[in-house]
Amino acid sequence: MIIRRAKAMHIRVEDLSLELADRDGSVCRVLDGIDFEVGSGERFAVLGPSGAGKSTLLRMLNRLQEPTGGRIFLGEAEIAEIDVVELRRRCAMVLQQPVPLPGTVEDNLLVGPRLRGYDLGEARRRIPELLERVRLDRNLRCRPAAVLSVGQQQRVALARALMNDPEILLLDEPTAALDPGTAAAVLDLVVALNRELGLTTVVATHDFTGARRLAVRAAVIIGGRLAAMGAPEALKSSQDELVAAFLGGA
Amino acid sequence: MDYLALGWTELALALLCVVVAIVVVAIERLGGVRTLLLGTVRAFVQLMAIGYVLQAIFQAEAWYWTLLALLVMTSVATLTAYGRQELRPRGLFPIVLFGIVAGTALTLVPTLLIILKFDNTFHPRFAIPLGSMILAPALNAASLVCERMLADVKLRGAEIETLLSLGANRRQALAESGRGALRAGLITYVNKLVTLGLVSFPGMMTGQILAGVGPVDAVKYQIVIMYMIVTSAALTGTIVIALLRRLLLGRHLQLIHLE
Repeated sequence: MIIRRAKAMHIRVEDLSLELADRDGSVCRVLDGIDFEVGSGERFAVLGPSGAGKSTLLRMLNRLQEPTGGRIFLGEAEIAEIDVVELRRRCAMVLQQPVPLPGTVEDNLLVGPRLRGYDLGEARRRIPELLERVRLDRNLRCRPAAVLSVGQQQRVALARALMNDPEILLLDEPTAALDPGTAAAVLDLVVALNRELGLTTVVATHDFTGARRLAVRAAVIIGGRLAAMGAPEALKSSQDELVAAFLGGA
Repeated sequence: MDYLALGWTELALALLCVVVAIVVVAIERLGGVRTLLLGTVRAFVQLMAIGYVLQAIFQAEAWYWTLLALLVMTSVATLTAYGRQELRPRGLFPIVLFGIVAGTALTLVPTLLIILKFDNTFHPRFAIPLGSMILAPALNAASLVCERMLADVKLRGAEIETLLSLGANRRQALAESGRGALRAGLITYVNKLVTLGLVSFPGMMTGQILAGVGPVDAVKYQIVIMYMIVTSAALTGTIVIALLRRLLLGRHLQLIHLE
C-alpha cells in the first residue's frame, strides 16, 4: 500500500482562550477556557453557530493563530514547543473554501513534497492511489485545479493534505461551500479516510446533521465557551438552554 | 570646449518656452494649465533654493554638513516612500527607513571608497550629488516593493495560508509575492539598462558633455552611475522584502491581517 497509515496522535486542549482588543480599546473574548481531549484516531466535531470561535480553535491546533491563554498538546508534547513547520506537516488543515493553488491537480498534490524537498518521482507514483482514495477521477490529474467544481477542489485539497502523511486531519467547515449531495459524499469520504488511515480527525462545523454523520464525539462551542460535549445523539438531550436552542435550530 | 555659465536671461528664455507651451495648451482647452503653471514655479523655486543651499555646503566643506544633507534627503525619501503606501501595517515605517538607508549606504560607500576614489572622497561636491542619484532608486524600489508585496499578500491571503498549513516556511510561503514585488521594484531600472544610449541619453552624461567632458569619459561615468543605481534599487528591494517576510508572518509564521 502506497498511502501510509498514520501514527495515532492524541490531542489535549487545556484552558484555551483568546482575547482580542477591539478598535475602541475594549477586550473581546473570542475563546474562553476551552478544555477537551481527542483520542488517537478519533473523529471529533467542534460544533457551534457562526462566529462561535470554531474556526479560530481549529486554526490554533496547527498554529495558524496563537491563543492568548491555555495550552495544546499533541501526544505528550506541547505544540508551542514543536517547530511550527514540522507541526503543520503533521497536522494537516483543509480550509473552509477550497483554495486551488496554481497549476494542475498533480501540481497541487506535489506542493507538500516540493516544500519538503522530497523526491517528486516517488510522490508522483502515489498520485493515482491518492486520487482514488478521495474519489477523484484519475483523468483529472492533468486538469488545471482552478477549473474544477468546488466539490472536486475540496477533494483535491484533501488529497493535497494527505500527501504530507499527516497524523491529524483538521477540516474547517468542509461542506459549507457544497450542495447537500456533494456535502454528504465528502463527509462519508472523511469517515472512510479516518477508518482506512487511522487519522485523528477534527472537524469544525455548524451543521449538526453533518456532525452526526461524521463524528463519534462532539464539543459544542457557543459564544467562545464550551457549552456541551459528548456523542452527537446525546447532545440532543442537553439541558443547557443555549445548546438546546442551537441544536433545535441547526 | 568651454563651460557656458547660464545667466538670468537664459533662464527667462527657457521660462518663455514653457509659457508658450502653456498658452498652446490653454488655447486648445486641454486642461491642466494650473498644474503646469504650479509645476513650473515649484521647479524653479525648489531648484534655485537647493542650488544656493548646496553652494553654501560646498563652501563650508565640513563633513557634518554633508552628513546633515544626506540625512535630510534620506528622511524625505523615507517619508515619501512610506506616504505612498495604502496598506500600512504596524512596523512598516522602520522597514522602509532601514531598507532605504542600508540600500543607499551599501552602494554609496563602496562607490566613493573603491570605484571613484576622489582625492577628498567625502567632500560634499561628490557625496551629495552621488548620494542623491543612489537615493532616488532606493526610494522608488522601497515604495514599489512595499506597495506590490502588501497588495499581493492581501489579495492572495488564502493561498498563502494554504501553503503555510501545508508546512511552507517563511520564504516558501511568500515566494511568489516576493518575486512579483522585486520585479515591480526593478522593472524601471532594468528597462533603462536595456535602452540606455539607444532610446535616451541619461541626464548625467548629457550634462557632462554639455560641460565640456569628452563623450567617452562621460559615458564611463554614466555606466558607473547606472550600475550603482541598479545596485541601490536591487539591494533596497531585497532588504525590504526580507524584512516584510518577517513582518507579514511574525515569529510563528502566522499571516497578519492587512486592512
